[in-house]
Amino acid sequence: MDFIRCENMSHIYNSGQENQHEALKNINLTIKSGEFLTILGTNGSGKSTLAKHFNALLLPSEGKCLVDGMDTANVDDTWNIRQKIGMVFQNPDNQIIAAIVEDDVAFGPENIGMQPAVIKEQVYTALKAVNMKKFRKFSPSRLSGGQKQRIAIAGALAMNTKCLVLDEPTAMLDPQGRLEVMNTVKELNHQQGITVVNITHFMDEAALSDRVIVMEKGKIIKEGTPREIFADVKGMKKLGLDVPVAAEIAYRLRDKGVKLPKDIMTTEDLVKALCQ
Amino acid sequence: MSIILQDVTYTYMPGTPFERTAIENVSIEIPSGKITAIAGHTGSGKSTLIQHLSGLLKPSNGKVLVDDVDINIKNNNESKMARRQVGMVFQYPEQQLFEETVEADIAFGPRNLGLTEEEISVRVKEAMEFVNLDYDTYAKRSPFQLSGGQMRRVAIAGIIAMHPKYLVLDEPVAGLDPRSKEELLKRIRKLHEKQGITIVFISHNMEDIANMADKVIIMNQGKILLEGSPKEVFDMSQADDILLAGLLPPKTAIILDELNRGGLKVDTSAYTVEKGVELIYQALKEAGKC
Repeated sequence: MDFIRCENMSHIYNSGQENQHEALKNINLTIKSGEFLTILGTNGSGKSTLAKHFNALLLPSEGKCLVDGMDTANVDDTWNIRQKIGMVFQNPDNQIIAAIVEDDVAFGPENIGMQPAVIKEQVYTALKAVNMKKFRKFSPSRLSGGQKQRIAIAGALAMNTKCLVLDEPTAMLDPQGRLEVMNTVKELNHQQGITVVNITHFMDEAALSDRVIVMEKGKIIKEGTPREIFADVKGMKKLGLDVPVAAEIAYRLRDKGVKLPKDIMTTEDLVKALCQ
Repeated sequence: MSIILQDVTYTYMPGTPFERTAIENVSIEIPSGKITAIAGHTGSGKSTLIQHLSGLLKPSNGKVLVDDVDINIKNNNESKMARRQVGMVFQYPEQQLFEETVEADIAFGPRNLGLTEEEISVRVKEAMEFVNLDYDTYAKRSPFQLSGGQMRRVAIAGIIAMHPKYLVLDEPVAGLDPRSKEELLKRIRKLHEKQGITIVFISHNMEDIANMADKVIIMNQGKILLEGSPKEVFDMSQADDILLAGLLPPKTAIILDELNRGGLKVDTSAYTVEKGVELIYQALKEAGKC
């Protein structure tokens, strides 16, 4: 089932002014329910602008954005849309507002008028899902970056969100924190069927997803499975992007005349191909 | 010549319920003329440590010497001049830009040093050249209308224009896309090579550290866990220590190790992609696989 659909969507910042800027140009994109999609692209390619359309933080200048059948331009549906789509941004410190972890997770559900008993259950389930149950009475200031990001994800889950839109959620984290967050996201996607849209500069994270789109200058210029995308090492570098280290090593070995399949992406792939 | 920390301990909010010792009995040397990288998980004490290098934090215990001068002596001109040798670029430095034009922002530091307008102008031009921002194109623009990578380069130029002997950068490439990241690292290395500036940088990315650093310091729980050349620190026999410190060894080192486990006899001493490819190729040849 299509969960998010963009039809001929464009976005122009400061329309009609001197510094007018067309950040998205004629985007056509369908994201299926339960899919894990990665958006790649250099800074300024339009990734974040696109993501902000998914929960009506931005509205299309032209074209349409549909979420679960609802048009984001229809103001009556704004709050329904935002309940279905939870966003997590780069800086963990900018999105936590309460002094206690469980209060922070309860903030969303309270705002939409859930009953206290239900909220309690929602918060408990959400914290359990992100593996932060035992921190529920902690002050967020005592948590690591990775833990804070998982609290932010729990906040979305407590609203019964159907889709997580993550805008570089691991950019400020250390390797351990990155791993924690990505494992949580993967688990939510696999076990609860939560649709995931992840914007990242880390190619290893992109390798975890079902599908990758690559953006440049406001357009989608490539689309495919991670294996398809990362097989084109030269093309990705030319775009100012990168590929996972195993793919790069395989590419360079092929260059030296070693016979290796083109779609090597992970360490396991490489070990399997070289050690048989 | 170097920066030396002698038995430095720093305690935040001593004597309060929030008292916390962030670094404990740390003794290190930042050798002059080299690139030193500091890694460690969030909260391991890296940022506390580097704030000692320019006297922003004063040790609760211990001493910091810059070129043999104690930098924490009050009302002492020598101490003050020693502190000025050390330029600091914080995390996300673009958030600290504030002037109306790129030129004015970069000129702020040099002007505070009391230089003449001509000298300031020379320094701004030179600093912009170093971070690869064309003077005629960008000098009069607002820094807030540039891309993230460009804004960061403006912020770094502002520090370079103060001519520090030691340049300290806290996660200089965090949040940049691969191309901007590579470009900035290249510029930092060039600065080091051309002007002989000593570089200290914090990073979570072991690939960047492997490619850049002469010396690596890994911190865990406020203490130095590992210290040495990349070759010494990234030896896979110490991989467990690195994992315990919340970090990951360079991907190339992991891949070489896995290949060995998988049965391909390959030398595992490499930690950069170039060297790794060479070693794998050699191993394949010896095994008669190509």
